[in-house]
Amino acid sequence: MVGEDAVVEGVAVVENNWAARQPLPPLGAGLGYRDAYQADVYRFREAIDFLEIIADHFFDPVPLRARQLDLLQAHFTLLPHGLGLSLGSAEGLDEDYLNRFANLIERIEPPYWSEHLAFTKAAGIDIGHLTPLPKTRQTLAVLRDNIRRACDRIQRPLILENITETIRFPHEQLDDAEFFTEVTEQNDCGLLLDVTNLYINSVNHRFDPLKVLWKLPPERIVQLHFVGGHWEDGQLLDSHSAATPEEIWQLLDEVVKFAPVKGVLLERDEKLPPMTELVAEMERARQSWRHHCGQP
Amino acid sequence: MASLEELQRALAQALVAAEQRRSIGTSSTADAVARDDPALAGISKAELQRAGQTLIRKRLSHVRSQLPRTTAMLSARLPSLFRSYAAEHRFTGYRVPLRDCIGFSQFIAMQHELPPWVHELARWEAMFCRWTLSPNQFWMVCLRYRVFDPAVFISYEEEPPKRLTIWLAHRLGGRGRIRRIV
Repeated sequence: MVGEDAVVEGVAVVENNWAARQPLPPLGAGLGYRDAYQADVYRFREAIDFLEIIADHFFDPVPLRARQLDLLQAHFTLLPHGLGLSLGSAEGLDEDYLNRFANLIERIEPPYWSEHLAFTKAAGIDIGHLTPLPKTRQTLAVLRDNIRRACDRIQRPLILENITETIRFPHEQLDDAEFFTEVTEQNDCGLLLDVTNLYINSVNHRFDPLKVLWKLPPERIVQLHFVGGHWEDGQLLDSHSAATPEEIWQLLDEVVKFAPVKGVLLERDEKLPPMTELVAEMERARQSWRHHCGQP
Repeated sequence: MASLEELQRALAQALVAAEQRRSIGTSSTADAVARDDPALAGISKAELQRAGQTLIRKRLSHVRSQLPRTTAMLSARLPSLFRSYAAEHRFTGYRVPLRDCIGFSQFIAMQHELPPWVHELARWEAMFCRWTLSPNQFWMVCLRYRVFDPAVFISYEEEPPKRLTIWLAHRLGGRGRIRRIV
């Protein structure tokens, strides 16, 4: 029953006051850190509220890399973002990857960390890309086991990101919003809502993204990702290779109206423009966030 | 209905097979088996194929970010070169992008139709990937061209200035240096 701990189908349903129990700091507008901008992030320090680092890039850092990490940490709040933990793998977690991730988090002490609702490894194969999960109760059970193991090892708040669904599965038992809600509430995690991925899925699979958004638990939406993609063979791709288009700005505005997010992050990966263009995008996102989330 | 473990096994095999098909431009026996796997019943074959092709694009994206000057110089030649490389090389582990960069630079060095300064630039940029990858290492790099100087513009068509340099890179237990000795 909401408001009390209860056992439902063998799963403890945690009281839905995650935001009150996890006092995460408001962060503002941030940038996905890329080595190409390693000088620019300091030149434009005042325009960047926080950085998200790809965790894999900083595992077991060599001295030069460690100094780079120390310098970044001295100037920015760093949020580690994993790619290869494969929380959705039915065969369990990669313990080596988990330990390296844990070591990094112990070093940089972030307010939270993030990974994906996806799998990347199965049967000895490393796919090398985030692969979708069928939205079933069996998937929820696998996620529960893996997230429990990960959170036992890494005792900091975890937020989970939605991915683009290049593959759709038959016989799904839950819709998108139900799935994200169940995962975050069963595992007491937050949601990293990738607005671009939500938009891309809505275009490629023809649904209204707002109908998904409005069914999500707003207090669990902690951070947003946004960026532009490109069209290829009739599909919109999450290539992170272009300026954020107007449709995604509009969807982002709706999200920050709906949910008290802590941070909005621009994650550009390809066709990297001058930093001034990214600064302009971050400023637009910051204005929207401040206006709707009421942050200073 | 297949278990999640069976489904993920079948998906991983099918996606990698689709990636290989994109690389070499033909269907393979493994690809046919993957497409007919009962665990994948009800899943769009077109979606599987597109998802597999995404893997190549992602790998190439990582290589572009780690070998920026080399990939920029290769320009329109890059996609076909990388597909040829990717058809024969696949790594596992969390540092796959770095291994891909090193592997691709070695692949470029064996493409005799490319100018020698392209070989050297690839080797130079890959050296920093190699530096990150292994805690214990010792190697020397000999360069005939000024590919190490980011201020020197290098184009595919025009031979760049020559300057013989020899570089020594060593790391032991994570500590080390890269320095020019000649």
